[in-house]
Amino acid sequence: MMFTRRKLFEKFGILSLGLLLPNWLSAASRKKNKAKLVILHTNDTHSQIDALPANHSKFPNQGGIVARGAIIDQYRKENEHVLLLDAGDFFQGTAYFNRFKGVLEMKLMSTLAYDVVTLGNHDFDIGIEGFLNAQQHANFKFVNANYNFGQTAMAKVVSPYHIIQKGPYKIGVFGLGIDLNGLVPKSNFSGIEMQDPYLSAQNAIQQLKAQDCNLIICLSHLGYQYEDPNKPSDVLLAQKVADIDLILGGHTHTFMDAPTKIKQPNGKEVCIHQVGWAGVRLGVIEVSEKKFNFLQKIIH
Amino acid sequence: MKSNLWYIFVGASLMACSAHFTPTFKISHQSVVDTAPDTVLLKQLQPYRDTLVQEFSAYVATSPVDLVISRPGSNLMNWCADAVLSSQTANKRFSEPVICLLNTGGLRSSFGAGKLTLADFYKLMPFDNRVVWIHMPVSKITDIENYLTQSGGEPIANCAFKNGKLDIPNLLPNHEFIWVLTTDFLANGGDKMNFFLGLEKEETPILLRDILIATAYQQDTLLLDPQIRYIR
Repeated sequence: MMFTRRKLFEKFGILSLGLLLPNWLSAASRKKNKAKLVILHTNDTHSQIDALPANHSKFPNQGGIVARGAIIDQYRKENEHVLLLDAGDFFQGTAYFNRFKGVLEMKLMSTLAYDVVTLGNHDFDIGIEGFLNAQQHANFKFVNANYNFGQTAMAKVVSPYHIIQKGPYKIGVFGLGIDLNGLVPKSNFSGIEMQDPYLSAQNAIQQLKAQDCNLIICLSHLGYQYEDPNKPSDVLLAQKVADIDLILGGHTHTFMDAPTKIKQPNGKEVCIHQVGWAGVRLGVIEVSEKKFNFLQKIIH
Repeated sequence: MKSNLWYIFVGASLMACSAHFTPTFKISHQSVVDTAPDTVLLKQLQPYRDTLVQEFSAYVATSPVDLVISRPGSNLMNWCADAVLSSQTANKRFSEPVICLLNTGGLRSSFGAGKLTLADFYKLMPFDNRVVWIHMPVSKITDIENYLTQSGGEPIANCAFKNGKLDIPNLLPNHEFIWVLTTDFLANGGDKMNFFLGLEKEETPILLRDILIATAYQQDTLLLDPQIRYIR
């Protein structure tokens, strides 16, 4: 069948109408604030259940899980899609942990409805058995891609990554942990092997991309950056591994007033963010879509 | 009409399938201040809080000033190392020098000036680390020196670190060994203190935290040495 020029223009116009339709629909949904995703994140909360005391030299009366909960509730009331993440070291630091062995932290984080967390070195302070006893009280996901949990019971409760759908966002969250050797007594992580964090990240990203994730987040407990230029860190991760959209870090207790933007090997920028320690700050990331780059896709 | 609808459908499908998402991020933070508590959490937390208050709010001692843990050294780091040394060596005579070496990373909190409770000491030393005696050849002291140079400062007692060298006042030329008081975590190579590995050691059942609590209780007002023991 041959199209006349007029018919061709006619059909092309109708096709264009169809091409624009999802954008119009998307624009309409944005007005209802349904397309916006809010990511809230913490790191190194270190069992700081109560606010820091009034005589604290740096953060008097700041933090506390009850206040954190009130802020998180407010974001959930105002936004349809909220993701709550933690970058590890939720255990250890106050007598709550010594007394209740992590059970309280797990219960309260479940009430706060955390979605995904990764593990810090201090989350091994009561060993694998202690962790698992506490973890029974958690209703959120644990991710780590660079620890080989082998035959340990942790293999059943920690996965390399987790995928969550929040409205139009298919979000892949994977975790990376610091080398536990020298930081944690060996008996506390017996049977767990450390693997290269960069290769592990690449593997996780490959799998997340294969499952059509349009937003890839790394929860990292590697630490922001070190004097030793070879020690794995968030900055090195950003420089070496492509296709991560966000690195939400922990371990170094780094207070960042603005995110660090680093060019990845593919030329794209990745943002690194970390919010200190003790839960005195809550990281807030508002995600919005920039554009639909459909023309390139059709040509290819 | 049917044909036109088909084109709209194909166009919309192409668009939906090929949608390439390019996210933009607005990243900030919010300070967490205890003003409008979450009542559900508060209710859940209260029984645990009550237990903790009952068991950990006992008065231990008074801190005369704000005490911090900070490299290269601080009054609180000195106090902790001194407490271990004095508790283990009091009323005993030794033929070889005894020093104390702890780790800055193991002391997890500072003290504000004022009354200190049991909970404060659990925050300072949350780990159940036990005291260990290590018999170290004098020739291995350089390993400690190299470590301290790199780390930038750890709590030490009965010695000072000056210009890359460990100055131990009672170390004599005829000494072949010294005793190092430390924790089981460090004695097993924790915090990369690998120089302790393979050395003769005597373990004790004594928790480092218990020493700090007992010493503070005995002193009532903490006795502080503000002198920095680490000089580059």
